Amino acid sequence: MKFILFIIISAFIILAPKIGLPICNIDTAKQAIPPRIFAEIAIDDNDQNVIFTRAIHNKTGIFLSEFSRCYFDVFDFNYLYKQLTILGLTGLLFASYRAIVLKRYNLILLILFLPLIPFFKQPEIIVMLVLKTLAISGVLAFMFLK
Amino acid sequence: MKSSLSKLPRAEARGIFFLARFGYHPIGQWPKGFLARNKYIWLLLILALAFALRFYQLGQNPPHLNWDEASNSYNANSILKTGKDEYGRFMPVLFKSFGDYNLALSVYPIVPSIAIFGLNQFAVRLPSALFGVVFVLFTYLLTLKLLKNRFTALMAAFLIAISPWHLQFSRYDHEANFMQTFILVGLTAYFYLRKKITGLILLVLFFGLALNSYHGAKVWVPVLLLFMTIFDRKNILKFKFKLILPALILFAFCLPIIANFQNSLIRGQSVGITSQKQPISTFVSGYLDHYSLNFLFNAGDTIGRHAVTGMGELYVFELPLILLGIIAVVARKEKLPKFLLGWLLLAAIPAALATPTPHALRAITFLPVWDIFATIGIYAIKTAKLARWTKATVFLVIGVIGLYNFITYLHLYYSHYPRQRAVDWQDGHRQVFAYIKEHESEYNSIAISNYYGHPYIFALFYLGYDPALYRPQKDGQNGFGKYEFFGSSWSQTVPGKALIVTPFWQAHPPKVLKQIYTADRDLRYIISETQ
Repeated sequence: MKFILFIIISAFIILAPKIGLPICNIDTAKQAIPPRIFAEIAIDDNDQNVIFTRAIHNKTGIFLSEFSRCYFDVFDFNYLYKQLTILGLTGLLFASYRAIVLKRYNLILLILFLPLIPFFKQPEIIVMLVLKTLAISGVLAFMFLK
Repeated sequence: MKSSLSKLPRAEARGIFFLARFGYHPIGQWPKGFLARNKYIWLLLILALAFALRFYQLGQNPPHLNWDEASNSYNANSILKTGKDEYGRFMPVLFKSFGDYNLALSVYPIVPSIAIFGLNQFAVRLPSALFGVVFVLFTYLLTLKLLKNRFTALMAAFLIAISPWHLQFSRYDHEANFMQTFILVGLTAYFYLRKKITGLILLVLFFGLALNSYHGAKVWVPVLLLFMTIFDRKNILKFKFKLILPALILFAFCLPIIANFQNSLIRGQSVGITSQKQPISTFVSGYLDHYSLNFLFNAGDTIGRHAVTGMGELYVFELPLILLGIIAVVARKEKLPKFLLGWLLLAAIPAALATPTPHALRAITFLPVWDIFATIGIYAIKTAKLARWTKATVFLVIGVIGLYNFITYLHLYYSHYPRQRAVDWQDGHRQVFAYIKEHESEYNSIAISNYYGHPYIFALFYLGYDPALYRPQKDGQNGFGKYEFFGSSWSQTVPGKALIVTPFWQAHPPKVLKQIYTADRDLRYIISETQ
């Protein structure tokens, strides 16, 4: 019975419609720097200390902000929910939790580095396949491991 | 205290990560040294910091009163002077305001402040700032009770004291801040007096106050009460027939809502998801939106009044700490910290039942849970079996990033925010009415465009118009005294000179007296006069 249930849940996860990530990669991150830095500096007072301005509004900071936006897009719960269904999302969270608790560093690194694939303009399908695999593994672990 | 690692399943005990080990670490001991001798000084310093961050430039930043603040404060002023609201109702339990029927405690807490400091921006925001400081204190007390660790409690208080999310809503008058403070005080009282019926009475007392402060409480209070009942059912059910008393108290607090049931639903109907085509899908999507990492750590709420532009609702340095904290709590066997997990999962429900999402104001229900999890994360690192230099390096990196985040926040809030978001705060009205106040006597009539919405309330507030004079002559908010408010065009009804206030793009008499600019240096209003 458990096995049949697992097959059904896995089928739902596999057959869930493919959802694209928002366009966000190294190019968009670089493109965002000039307008953002101009807008931010334009707001500051003329008499503001230059070093302070440079410390708060700089290319590195804006690039990191754009990078984190792209990075977080992959871990957006709405995206994951649509991509994996609610059971798949639960499975993914459980798989991540088990990976951390059991010190499976290779798996933790795989999850952490996953968002770099679309950021460096590699095929998004890799992200989707890895997420679905992890979600099914999580469901498997949840159902069969004690 | 004996370590309970032996209770772990064999596989986990072999390969356990230090965080899971934290779950079984004996906590409850006060660290030795300076902190131990000066525990109350640290708390006082944190409260002083909370006070400073909430009161510095309180009347000037946010740059202007929004119309809800103006409405609440004018009604408070009216109650103070006449005992009636702007519509002439004696001591109402619901304030009609702009037709959204705000609850009683959105107005009454402002009355003493206006009585002492007068009708001005500082006085309007003072109660909210005070509630903010109280919130920091009770975050400390609740964390201390739930986690039984003073270091964690102090860190939680510190993080909430500097939290951009909490600072945003403690620095302007909004009843959501009152609601969440009442909730926090109620929960703290309950956990401290859990074994006595007094705890439950205090819980429902403060939850009742929360119910009468903010519309969102009509969802949040029942959800939290249901969760509390399930979570602590053994303890609660043992009170048996004594439960009648808290039930009666709660019922008494529900009476204002029940008695005005139709009116109290208006706000919910206007923003609720029931009007959406697919309400369930909208709910799920809205629920998950509030856990979006971009919302929490990168972009924040897009509504200008709810967040500063350029950062999230929480600091970036808190992200790894929160993850560690959640894992640590999941791994714990103790019951009370699990309450935080339930809170975290339920907190998005009130906000998800409305649109748009994510919504930092309606999701104020999350506070202070995120920060408590972050402090558990800090404690997890502190107690991890790692080399001293490794821990020192981790804390140094987190500290440097945290300091940078905090300085950036202060810069964005005090330098950028008043300019970037001036329009969201309906900037321009104060300058308009400051001019009008000086020249009022020179004109027979003063006509103001209502294009930007509810100018009458700003007129009443900034002119300090006597509520006793206003009420008998008000007529659908279209005018009072020599003031008239018009839509697309104005036609003169009173002979003689008239002062006209229009948006800069709207047709106006050729004789321009003053141009009104907002703090972001955009032209907003033209003040002109008829010949």
